[in-house]
Amino acid sequence: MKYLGRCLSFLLPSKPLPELKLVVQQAFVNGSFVAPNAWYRAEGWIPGGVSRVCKLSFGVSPLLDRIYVDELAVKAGHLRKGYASAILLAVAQHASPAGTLLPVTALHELWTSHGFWDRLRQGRVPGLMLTQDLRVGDMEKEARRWKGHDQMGGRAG
Amino acid sequence: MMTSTEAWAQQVLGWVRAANWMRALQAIRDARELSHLDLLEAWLVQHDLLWRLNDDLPKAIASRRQALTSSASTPSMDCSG
Repeated sequence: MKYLGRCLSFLLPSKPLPELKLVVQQAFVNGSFVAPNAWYRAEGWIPGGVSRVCKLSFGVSPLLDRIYVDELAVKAGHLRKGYASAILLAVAQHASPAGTLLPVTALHELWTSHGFWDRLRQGRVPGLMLTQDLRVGDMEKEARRWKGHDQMGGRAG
Repeated sequence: MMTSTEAWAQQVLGWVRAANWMRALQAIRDARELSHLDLLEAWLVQHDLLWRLNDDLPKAIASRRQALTSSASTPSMDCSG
């Protein structure tokens, strides 16, 4: 029964995400994974609240076609309330060009968080598109993808 | 004033925080001093980043530490005469 519930859960209407105030700061300009683009830190605050409830770091690919996210964390006491999904959606909206929502790629999903990312890939948050995560061994290939795009004269690959 | 050990560890920590893991892992593989690795490991623990890549970072540090330790304990040959 529990298994059936899990299988059908993505068919049910999604719970509305909690409201969040997003604060974004540039963290690293030089030497980031997405160089020459910068790497940012984002914090999610409850509107009117006095404390941060979640955070992550992110960068946009040099091709401006994908958002990479890392270090996603939710404060104890605010877990399982939708804040992780809410900050991912807020960052995607913040970093995407107007009118579009770039796909999000998590960097190195940890063993303990696979369930969360899988649920997002099943469409738990409408509009938020998640790709397979990128692991250390994939990073060089991803960087080559950006360079290959340059060599092809700027066409999307 | 920052020491060279602190400067090195801060640079590598920055790469980890900016998700530039290839560069961070390469820097660990190229580390020349055990003290560099010791400080980096301490800072990674302090920032809760040591296990960020599951065990890739601890493994790389342990492997480089072992290489540096064994090269330090191997007596150098004197071929001068």
